Amino acid sequence: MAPAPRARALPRNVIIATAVAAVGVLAVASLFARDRLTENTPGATVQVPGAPMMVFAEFGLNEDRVFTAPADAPQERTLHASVKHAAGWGINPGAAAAGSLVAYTVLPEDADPDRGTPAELWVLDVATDELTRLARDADLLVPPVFTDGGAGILYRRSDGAQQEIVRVDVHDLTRAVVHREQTSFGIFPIGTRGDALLFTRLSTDGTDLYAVEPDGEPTFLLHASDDIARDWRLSPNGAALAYLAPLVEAERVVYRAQVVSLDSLESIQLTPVPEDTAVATEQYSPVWTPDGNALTVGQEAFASESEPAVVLGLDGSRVELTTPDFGFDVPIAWSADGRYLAVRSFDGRNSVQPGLQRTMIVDREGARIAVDVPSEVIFLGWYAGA
Amino acid sequence: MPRAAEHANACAFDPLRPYAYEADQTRTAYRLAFDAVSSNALFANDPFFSLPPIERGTRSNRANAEAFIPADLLKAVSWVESDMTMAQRAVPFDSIGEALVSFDCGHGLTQVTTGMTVPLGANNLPSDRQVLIATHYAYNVARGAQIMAEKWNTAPEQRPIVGTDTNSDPALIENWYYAVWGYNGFTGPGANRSNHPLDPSLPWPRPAFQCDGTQSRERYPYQELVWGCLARPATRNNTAMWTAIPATLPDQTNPVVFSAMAISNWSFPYGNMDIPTPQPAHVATAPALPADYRTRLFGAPILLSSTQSVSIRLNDPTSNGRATVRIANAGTGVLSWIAEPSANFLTLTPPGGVALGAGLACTTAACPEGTLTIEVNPTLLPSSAANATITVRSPNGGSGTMRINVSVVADFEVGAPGTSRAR
Repeated sequence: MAPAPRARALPRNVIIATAVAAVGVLAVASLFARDRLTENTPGATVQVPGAPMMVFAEFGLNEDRVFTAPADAPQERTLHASVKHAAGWGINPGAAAAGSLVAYTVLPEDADPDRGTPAELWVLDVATDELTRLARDADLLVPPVFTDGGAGILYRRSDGAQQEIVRVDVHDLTRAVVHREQTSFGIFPIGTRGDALLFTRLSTDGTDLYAVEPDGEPTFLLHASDDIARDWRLSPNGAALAYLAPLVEAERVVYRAQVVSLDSLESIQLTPVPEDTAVATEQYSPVWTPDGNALTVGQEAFASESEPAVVLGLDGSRVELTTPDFGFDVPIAWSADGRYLAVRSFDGRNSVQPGLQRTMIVDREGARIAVDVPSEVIFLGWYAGA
Repeated sequence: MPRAAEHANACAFDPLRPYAYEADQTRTAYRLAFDAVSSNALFANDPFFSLPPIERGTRSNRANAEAFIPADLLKAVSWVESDMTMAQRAVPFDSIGEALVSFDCGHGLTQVTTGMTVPLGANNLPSDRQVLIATHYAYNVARGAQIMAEKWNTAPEQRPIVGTDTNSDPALIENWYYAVWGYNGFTGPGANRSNHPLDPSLPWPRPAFQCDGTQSRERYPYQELVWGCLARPATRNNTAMWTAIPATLPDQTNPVVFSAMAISNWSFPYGNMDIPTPQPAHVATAPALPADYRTRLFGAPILLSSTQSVSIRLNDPTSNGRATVRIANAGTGVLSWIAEPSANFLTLTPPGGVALGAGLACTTAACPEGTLTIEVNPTLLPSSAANATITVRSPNGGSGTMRINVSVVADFEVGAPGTSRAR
């Protein structure tokens, strides 16, 4: 069984406020303190003492162990929690961390081992090792999403054909259904903008983006794709959304990164595919740089043995990160200082032949650092440190 | 014992579990059963357990053909379902113990759920078929294969087909993609138990499932778990559990495949989801069977007719009295049995089980005979002295029955059933 809730050791709001403030300071500082290598480059780094900490879990058949480790020294890990779970069914991480908080869904060890079994939703504070169970009716497969700097969390739950997006207050554990609907497919929380929940809806028409105010009716914002769009990520300032949508051509179907302004609902053009590329190539997992000025995407190794992730500035710039020896990188998240990018690194060529996967930390200054454990690495987020 | 109405939606043996034989760790017997069922060599003449004809052909040209399922595919499915085991994890190999029954009434090696819920036999007891599927590996394999065949054969009327360019030949492993998907539930994108490969909740791209316990299952649709295991067989005692087959998944960058699996096509009966065979395709053939395979799988179990008497004396109205009897197999192979009490104050554990015949490996005290524990619930006794009978019979061990006369004497005053008073 997953760990029982424990009494809070420290006032969480203090920790969250501190962490959020730190991220904010870093973001502001990034406007002035870019280093030489990245000068004038969107998504620049901020030099701060000490490496940020990554939070990750090592999958175990019956128990996952959650660690933190410095970005530049993954082997120097500190154990924060052990999460027992249904055999073979590990934790499913939230989309990102919020300060010292990470979230996950999990099937407790005595649960029915099935993807449709109601999962538990937990938050772990790696600053205090405090574990808090927020819900016992979450959809395992749908990653929870922090809102309001970690004060709340969105998750999805299902009851037959009815799905609900629920917001839990992390402080007092109160829950409120933000949106519910009957669906043959699914709705997925992205985040909040102001008071509005942003979510996507799948239907036979494809993927649509909606906003819904508390106690309001959903407002259609955007038809993202006639097919399944995925990997939605809200920009740090909440002004834009990035996602992947399939580009269907006669020869091939590839997922490509898209950006849309939430103010104008117009597409923002990313750096186009180089004209010498005859066939559109796959892009993977767009993630925002901490300053929100650029998007980092993975690229398939289409014409070579390896292909780096690339930082695509909204200003049209294009910066390649360190290339793997073989294969390609799928971005997970940047550290708050903009220096380290966690990636799932594959030694194959693309989604059809992905090869094996390792979790790597790509340093903007050129290093590639492996996070090696005997089993799957489950990345939970970045933590700026105490 | 009549079962209460509240168990109407429960598993066949609820609230107890039957006992099953867990054969050798190398799964030699189980693998032989999968090999045999592949070409319908297990129960060719049994209308219930035989493998049905497997349809082949395109949507407009579908017809019955010989019964065949790739054995290695079934073995990989069984590994994903149960680690290819009949009994609970704690039961040693070469022994008898509590059968593997999952939350959804999945039973044994192939986690058969269909037909394993409410007791379907007489007197609200499990039917013979349910007993066999729950306790005997060969019947479990046969039923699992049959269900997989049914998943295949629901196309094209209710499911799409794979192999528009290969006459949907069941000998091609890749053509089983939709059937395997359906074995776990043909669930679509966005559902909380989605198996759709393009579901946005699943990581993408994702590495192949390694089938070695190092990856979490929820990152994969069910059919990719099976494909991953199929390519990387588990080994026990330096023996691969099946032949490694690097079966090809549908290529989602192929516009034909992508458009077929598009969300706009996710509508019953899924008529626009047909796809060509993923390439390179892999041909499966029916494994050669040893001449004595039937002897090895079934033997000739015999439940001897006998009458036994058991006396149980109760001296405490708050605790159950119990006795045990052994159930023997005078023949060979695995004998499945089920016990039926005549009175509701008797509880039988297990309610059904197995007894091993000569020649079957048995390394614990739990075998070769089966053990039936008879328990008396004093609160349900009709009087201080009561008699009942237990009838043990076998659906695969001949027509003999074992009759156990149970005599109960309570050293305390018994009131109306459901109450008791100490003297």
